[in-house]
Amino acid sequence: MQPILTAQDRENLVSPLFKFDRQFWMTIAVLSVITLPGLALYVRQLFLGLGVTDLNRPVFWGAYLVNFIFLIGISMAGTVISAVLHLLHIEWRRPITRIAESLTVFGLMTAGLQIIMDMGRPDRLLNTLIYGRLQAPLMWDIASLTLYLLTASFALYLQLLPDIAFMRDSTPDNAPTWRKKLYSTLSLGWRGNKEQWARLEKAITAVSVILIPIGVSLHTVTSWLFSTTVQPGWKSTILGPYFVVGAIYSGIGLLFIAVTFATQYNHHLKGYITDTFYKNLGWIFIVMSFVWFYFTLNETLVVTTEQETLEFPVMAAKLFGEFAPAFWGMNVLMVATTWILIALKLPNKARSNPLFKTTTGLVMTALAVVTFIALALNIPALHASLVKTVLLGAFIVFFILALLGLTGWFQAHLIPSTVIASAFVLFGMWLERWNILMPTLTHARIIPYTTYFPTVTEVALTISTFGILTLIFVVFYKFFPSISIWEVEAGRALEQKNGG
Amino acid sequence: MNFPMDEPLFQFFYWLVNTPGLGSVAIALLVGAAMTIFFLTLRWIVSAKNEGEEGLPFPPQH
Amino acid sequence: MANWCMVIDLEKCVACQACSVACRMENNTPVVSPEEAKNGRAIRWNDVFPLPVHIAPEQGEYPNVKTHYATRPCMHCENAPCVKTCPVQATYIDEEGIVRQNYDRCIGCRFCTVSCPYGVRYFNWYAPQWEGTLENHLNPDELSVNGSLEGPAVRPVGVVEKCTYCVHRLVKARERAAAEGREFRADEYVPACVQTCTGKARYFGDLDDPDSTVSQLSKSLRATHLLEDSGAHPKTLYLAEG
Repeated sequence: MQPILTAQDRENLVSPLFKFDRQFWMTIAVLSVITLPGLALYVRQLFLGLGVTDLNRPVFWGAYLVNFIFLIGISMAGTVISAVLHLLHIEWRRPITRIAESLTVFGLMTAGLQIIMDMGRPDRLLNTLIYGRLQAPLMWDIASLTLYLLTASFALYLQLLPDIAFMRDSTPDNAPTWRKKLYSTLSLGWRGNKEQWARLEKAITAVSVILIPIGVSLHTVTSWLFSTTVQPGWKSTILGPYFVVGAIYSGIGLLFIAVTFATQYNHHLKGYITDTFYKNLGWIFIVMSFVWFYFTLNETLVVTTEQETLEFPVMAAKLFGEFAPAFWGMNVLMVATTWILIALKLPNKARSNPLFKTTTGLVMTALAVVTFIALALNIPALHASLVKTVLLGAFIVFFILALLGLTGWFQAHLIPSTVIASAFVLFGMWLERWNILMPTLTHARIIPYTTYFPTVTEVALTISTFGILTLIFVVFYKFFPSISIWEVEAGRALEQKNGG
Repeated sequence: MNFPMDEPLFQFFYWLVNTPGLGSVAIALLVGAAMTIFFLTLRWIVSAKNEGEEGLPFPPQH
Repeated sequence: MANWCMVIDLEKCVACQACSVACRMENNTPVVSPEEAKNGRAIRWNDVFPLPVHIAPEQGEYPNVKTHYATRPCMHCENAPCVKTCPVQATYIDEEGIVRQNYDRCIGCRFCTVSCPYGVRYFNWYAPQWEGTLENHLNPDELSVNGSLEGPAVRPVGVVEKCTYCVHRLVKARERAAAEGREFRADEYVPACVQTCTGKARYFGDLDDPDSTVSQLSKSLRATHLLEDSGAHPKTLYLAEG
């Protein structure tokens, strides 16, 4: 067989793993600085109790639970996407499978942390394993999360196995002994013979098949934590699929950001992860955004139309009450995302109309942001209904003009535009989880309506969580190649065969 | 309540979901089964013997 | 076995909050600072509040205004949502129909507090504190079941607590009857709020005994439950006003 991996490839993919340069230590330092305040505040919370949060009665759950659902969501897509693409034999998946699968594992780890942060008695965590009751939805979630974490780790390991063996065989001579030992232990004596490859491929296919239902189950069960209670706003039968759709949607967003982060971190990866990946996954992203809008419309329209006495106050708080900024903010972000994604697919031609100038777009964006903030702040001086209507109309006009004006820029910058859209989706989906949890919790049946806003502790711990997630990501890819080397080679071989 | 709780079968079901510890047993079974399957799969893959060439960098194309 | 139940006559209730105070002294519920209370962290197992909750409580025009009040212990539901969602059975319905809480097993996940439609469950956000000499006047009773705290002794930080129909009084009454070598009678057991009620608006007894006051009252045309549509099958009965 022809050697498909060139010396240049080795230089690009293997050498950076053994270079602990300034860039690496700087990244670690910055992430630690971001993470540490939250950890210190968590220790304080351990000593004082959950009183350091803004939780109260009836808002018994808050930012930690929002983060939990969000992290489960972003972790779900990586594996499901890579499993589905694998089963469909889609070629452009090859360079990104590694990052996609690892995001699942890391996301689930940090999601588990949220539950521990949220517990009043983390010292009694083992009680769930001693006295676990099958009737409790929380047990279903623990079961599903554990199984998903195990299976996703297994899938990641299977996919990693040939690359670990490759690392074992190509460790530079000056590398520390423990790293050689690490690779030779983890490679399990992989020799890469024909039969081993055949079995590995069968196993990867089998795991891909079982990962999909497990991933769907985890997010459905997480939605059941809420929809099995009798609280208004949560008693919804579509919450399960809605969560699954949102999970895949935000997961693709995280995948785009993680892949772009990896290529920015190691510039050589740009030769492997090309625009094709952004263009093709962009199509799936567009589809998911429409499915997401469809579910959101279902949730909103039905409750708004029936105006049931218990359900409607919760919906009203989202439509024009205190949760309106979060609700409409989410929708604005999602509309912007969908437009950016669609713009990337439209034919790119030179436009002379000043409406389509980037400067116009930027000015309009600034105006739209200002009007949105003015509406969101609910300033008493603007309470006259005509003023509000004018502001609302102005916002809609500014928003449309901003999207039109920036269209040309979006089309000229594929990767930055995709990353912006992904960031919008991630933020929008965090807001969506917030909009599902908080309006219901603050609008209890026979407890006066209350408010909730995260305290410094909760904000710092949220930042820490994402710091930890990035830290795991950075450290993991200092030990293992972030691009599946054998998958890239297989892809090239297939190309040669088809081309020649 | 009109749930058929006087039937022994449903009493058994209720016992099943309501007894503390049974959830833990279920999770232990799930985790145990998964770990066993994963372990056996890994052993099955690695133990493959083949007299042909070794060190193939990627799966041979069919 | 008995099926303990409370009946609250809203026609007789004067909303004096004596039940709330009696409950606090009997069950050692911690006091919180006014700021914390404003933030919804007051712990009142037996709460007194104006009904309806979400609109202005005063009805009518001055000087003919009136406000309706409700007092609210735990409903001790027959299909209790809190019991169904507790992952570790730290809360359970005992054989006598009382929803009880095991403070030594509770992991503080607050699933029960979220699923209770009545908001009768309270969480210990901080370790309990008492002002001045109040700490010297705590109720010394302590109820342990299989070595786990379930009675009025002070609860630790991070667990959920709730009205237990003063179940430690039931245990004590049974023990006293046994010590005196006689049968236990249902009227020997009343919760502190029922005992203290100024207007005698609260009744307590065995719902399974057709001759008890509560069974008789449960047949009243005024008998109703709080949020009957919640699906929880609440047990605590109200006699409606009017």
